[in-house]
Amino acid sequence: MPDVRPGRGCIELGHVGLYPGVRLHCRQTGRIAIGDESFVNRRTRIFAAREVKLGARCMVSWDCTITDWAGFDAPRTFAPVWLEDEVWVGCRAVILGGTRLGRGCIVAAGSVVQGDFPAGSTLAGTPAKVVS
Amino acid sequence: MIDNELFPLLPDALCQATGHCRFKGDRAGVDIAQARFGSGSPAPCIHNEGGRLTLGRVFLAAGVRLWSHKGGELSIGDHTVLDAGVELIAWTRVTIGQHCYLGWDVLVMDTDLHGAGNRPVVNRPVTIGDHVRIGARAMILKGVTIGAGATIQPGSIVTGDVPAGTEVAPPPAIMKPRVVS
Repeated sequence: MPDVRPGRGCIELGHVGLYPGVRLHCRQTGRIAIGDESFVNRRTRIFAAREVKLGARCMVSWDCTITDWAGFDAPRTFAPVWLEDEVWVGCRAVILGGTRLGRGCIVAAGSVVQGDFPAGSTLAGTPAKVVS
Repeated sequence: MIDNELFPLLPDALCQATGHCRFKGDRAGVDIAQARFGSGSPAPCIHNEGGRLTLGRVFLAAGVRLWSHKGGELSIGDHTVLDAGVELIAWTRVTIGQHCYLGWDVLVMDTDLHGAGNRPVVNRPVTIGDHVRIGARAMILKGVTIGAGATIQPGSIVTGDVPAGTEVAPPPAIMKPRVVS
């Protein structure tokens, strides 16, 4: 079963598919929002102390981590993560705070993503760069 | 008897494989008579949606998932060990040779599962030769051929062919001087 813990924050799910072992956790007054017809595959975890927002028809593969924590370079900083519609995140990818992925972006398997990327980009690597 | 010199545990562990596996989907086209299953939770899962799965004398540890989609062919040769959490996805063809070792959480898939945008899904067969060692959490993606005796170091993401007897490794973590505040 998915493990959904809004805490003092809020979780807004449209008509979404959550697979077994998915974890949605808010800390403080964080907000997680996922749009209609999106899927989050097995064991992926989404963590928000501020905001993580996924658009409609997004596909998130298994074993991914999506968090608004900005990383060790900005300790105790949480920056919103916005994934627009139809973003496809490959398995075992990590998406860190301050990321905005435009509509239809594709994140390759195993990438570590942070930053703004325009619609339609394909990202790969650690740290992720645009490959096409 | 499964005999794999690459398996890091004692060979006894293979003899004591007393577990069972779970089935999803179609039992027709699944040949696992010689396979052995490790005990532990979750039990290895064999999921066949109208493809074919042919396992020789293979050891599957707990948490292994094999998925053959419609028209997919998944075959694994004798004396190969799939350690805990390995996931194999065959939408066209995944072939693994004999005496291979796949470490924890290795992922092998011959498909992207979805097309990009409105384009059709891309599938290309994966072939892994004999005596191949694959370290934990490596990912072998579509279209890859790995030659006999190759070593895939842990954490590698393999997207191109690996010739026989060679070794591939992921980028290591790099040192960055940092002022601790």
